[in-house]
Amino acid sequence: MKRRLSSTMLYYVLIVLLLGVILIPIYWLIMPSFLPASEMFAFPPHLLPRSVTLKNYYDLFVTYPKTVTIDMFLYLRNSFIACGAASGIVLVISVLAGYALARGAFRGKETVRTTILLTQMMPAVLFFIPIYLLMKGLNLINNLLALILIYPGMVAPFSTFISEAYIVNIPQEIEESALLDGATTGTILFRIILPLSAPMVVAILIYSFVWMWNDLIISLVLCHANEVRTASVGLFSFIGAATVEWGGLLAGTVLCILPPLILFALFQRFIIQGILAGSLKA
Amino acid sequence: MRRLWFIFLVCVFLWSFGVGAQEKITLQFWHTYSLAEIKVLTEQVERYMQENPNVQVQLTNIPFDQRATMIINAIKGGTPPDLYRGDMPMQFEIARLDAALPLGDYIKKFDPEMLSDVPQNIWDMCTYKEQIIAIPEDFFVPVVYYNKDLFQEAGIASFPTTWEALIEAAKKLHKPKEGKFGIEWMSWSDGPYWSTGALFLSNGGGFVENGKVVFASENNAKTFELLQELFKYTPPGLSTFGYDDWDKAFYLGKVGIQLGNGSWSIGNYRELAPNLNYGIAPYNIVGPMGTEPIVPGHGVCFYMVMKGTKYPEEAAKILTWLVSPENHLEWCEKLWHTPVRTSTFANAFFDDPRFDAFKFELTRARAIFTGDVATVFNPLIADTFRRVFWDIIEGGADIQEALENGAREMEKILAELGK
Amino acid sequence: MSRKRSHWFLLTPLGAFLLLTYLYPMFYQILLSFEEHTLYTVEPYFVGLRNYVTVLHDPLFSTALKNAFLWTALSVFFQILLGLFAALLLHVPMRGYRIFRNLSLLPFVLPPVAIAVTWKWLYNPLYGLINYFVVLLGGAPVNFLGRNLALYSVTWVNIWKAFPFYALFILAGLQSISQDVYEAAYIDGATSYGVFRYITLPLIRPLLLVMALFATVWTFNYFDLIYSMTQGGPGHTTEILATLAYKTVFLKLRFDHAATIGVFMFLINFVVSLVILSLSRRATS
Repeated sequence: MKRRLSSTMLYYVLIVLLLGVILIPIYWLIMPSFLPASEMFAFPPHLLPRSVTLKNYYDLFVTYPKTVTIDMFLYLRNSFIACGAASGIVLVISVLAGYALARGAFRGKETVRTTILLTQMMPAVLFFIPIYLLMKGLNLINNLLALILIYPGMVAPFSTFISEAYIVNIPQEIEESALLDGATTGTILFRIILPLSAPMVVAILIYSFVWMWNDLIISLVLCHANEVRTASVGLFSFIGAATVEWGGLLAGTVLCILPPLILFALFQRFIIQGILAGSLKA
Repeated sequence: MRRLWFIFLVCVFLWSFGVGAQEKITLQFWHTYSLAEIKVLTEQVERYMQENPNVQVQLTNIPFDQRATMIINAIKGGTPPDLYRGDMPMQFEIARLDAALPLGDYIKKFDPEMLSDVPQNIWDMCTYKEQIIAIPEDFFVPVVYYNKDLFQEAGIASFPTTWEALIEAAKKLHKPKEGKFGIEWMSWSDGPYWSTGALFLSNGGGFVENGKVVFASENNAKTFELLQELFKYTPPGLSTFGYDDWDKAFYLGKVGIQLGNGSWSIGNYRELAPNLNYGIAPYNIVGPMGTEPIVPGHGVCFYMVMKGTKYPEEAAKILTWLVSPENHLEWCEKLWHTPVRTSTFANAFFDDPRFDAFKFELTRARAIFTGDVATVFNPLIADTFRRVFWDIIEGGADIQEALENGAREMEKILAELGK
Repeated sequence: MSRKRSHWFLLTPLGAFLLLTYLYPMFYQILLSFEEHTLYTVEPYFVGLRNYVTVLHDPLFSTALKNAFLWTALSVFFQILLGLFAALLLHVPMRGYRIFRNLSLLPFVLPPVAIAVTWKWLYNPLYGLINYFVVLLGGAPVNFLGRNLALYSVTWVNIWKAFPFYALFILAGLQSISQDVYEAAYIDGATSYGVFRYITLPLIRPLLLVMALFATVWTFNYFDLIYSMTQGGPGHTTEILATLAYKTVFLKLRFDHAATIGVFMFLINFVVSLVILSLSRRATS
């Protein structure tokens, strides 16, 4: 009993340490978003807020859209459209490819795997100009479709690896009996594999959604006009040449992390299982 | 599932087409303004569109840090905006790429007085190969901001005019135990040149003159010795400061002297630190090896019309309208910017003593930075200077050796650029 | 349709998107690396291996390469080490563990802009929180982003940002280990450390190596964070190949040299990945 108590103590000490390292910087980001500008940079710093205000949020929701056409809700909507649609594509293409890699016994499989991995090795820094030129050629600059077309290629390699590893673990007998009943590959995939892999589906969706949600330069280069701006680019509006609009920046950041955070909280149970099944075979 | 996504994609596609469909003259206008400026610009542009219902101006604010990425992409892709607001030395980069529309004729047509109302040394910064390629909207010379309360506390009566006095003042102001520091200058991009260049020049030194690198000089070495001394009285981490760190150190009252700030801070500090008791002095310090105080030239922010616009006349018209006497006055009054038009500067609003230093500098500042690539404002040369600067001052490099290496590097850059 | 051919058919959509994203940019970069091509070049022309020679002779290239190795090695090692520690801790089903798991993921969802801005603020020697405590405890303010510490400071931010993400994956791996294995070991009188060392670690080693593979490639190419925190400074002490390539494009406007740096980065990644892959094969077999 005594030993148990001391190990419980140790557990909570370590948890507090871990969460402290993770959360203190985040506290320092979220807390000031509720402070008036005059108090934000008080020194010595106020570890706890002395006067709380919602002005930064009011400005973000009401003032900025009207006076300076910085409309975070519009940007969030754009982010939702682009990231949502592109995540959907990622899911479809990586499940199809993952299935082929997991079940197929064809020549060149290793080459295919290596090629998929190779795409991750070219530095993204150098993509900005050619991708801009490409999308300009397709007449898609300042069109969310450009992001929807480009993002999947950037995210799918990793999710293909996840889904391959997951599908390998699904017992093959289920499919074989379906095949005997005359099912096609499509039926097997959508009637059998997908329903069995809800956790993996969620894991892929969330991983790719967060990746795209936080992408900055590709979305800036391809969609810079105000109407098609994404949220992470929108945050940059608050960093000017000679001033940082701290209130807007911090409140905007809090707004930006809410959607992925809510997704995580809702699907936590799924995502853990999704990665779980995939992981050991990877 | 797949069909749903498909329908969704089609909807997105159609919806995004709807955004672009307009019958009017649509002008794309890129700028890098901060929120306060965007507010005034938006108001003015709305007004213009009401007066000219056939014109639709689409304002796009480009994040300041990514402005080079964006305009270079756009020019390379052949899709620049119609209108562009930029800062030095962008106008010459754009002009060298043959992407700037000459504006002289349009100015003569829409606002001929502007040509004489804006001083020649400002026009010099907007001229490339004898063509006016930009309309100035803001001008700045480096001046010195100082904290009057901290000066009083340290018992310093007025802003120093000699090197010895400057070092003495910084020393008196420097109380690191109380979290107060003597002096600071800019450290990012061309900042070291911008904010300490006056010291080099007023001490008989130089950087690049008439296309020749004159960096490795004895006078420059002497100036570096002074800066090494001054560096003792700077806040920790100065070499890593970005604009915001540097600015905050001053307006939070932690630093006594801020070398080389510009006019824009008057407006910023009014918002950020309404109780800050500060003074602005011209850069009037002669070094022991020099003969007269020299400011390192001045800069402009400007509007441009990009070549390739379908409506050059409409585009030029709105720019001249924005810098017309009434609108320019409104702009400068609301934002506390220094005007580029002499007639605007004569307005009673600018009798505020804080503008004195700028009025004074405007009369003697030279446009040392013109279309010539061989200047210290060239990003590559500025980068080299900045590295040498911090290698000597912070890294403890041998002055003579670092100067010679730096000069060699600058010569290499010039040779490369000259090709 | 034969089963065999249908596998290629299933790979087509992925292939199409990969081609769309990568074919043109890769082709473009490789071509560029053999050309004289700047923003001002009207007609690019073939120059053979000249760019490769120029880039290799630039002393900045070797500085950036050295920094990039240090940055990648430290980041990946500690991301996975801390990730492992956090995962082992979050794996224990104590009261509140679900909330802890949620909270610990926060850095992964933060936008990079916000991470850079917040950490610069925390690090600031004048009004930063960390230095406030340093001074309170009687120390002198530490210049975290100065020459001596900058690379380590930004590396720490990168570790902080990503280790929860890896923790999540390791956590999943831990949960897939059957409970029976542990019980058997404990019955045989194994210590907690022994169980970890001889049972848990060998079972999750393949997973760790796959993560190391992706983490290495990603970190080596990752430029946002350093660029927004230090721009590679002060004095190139945080310059890595990715920031150097970015500057070469958008500051120097030397598209050809940047493309060459990119090809080198690709090759380095390739070689390092081969090493990791062969290690991982050995671990699996």
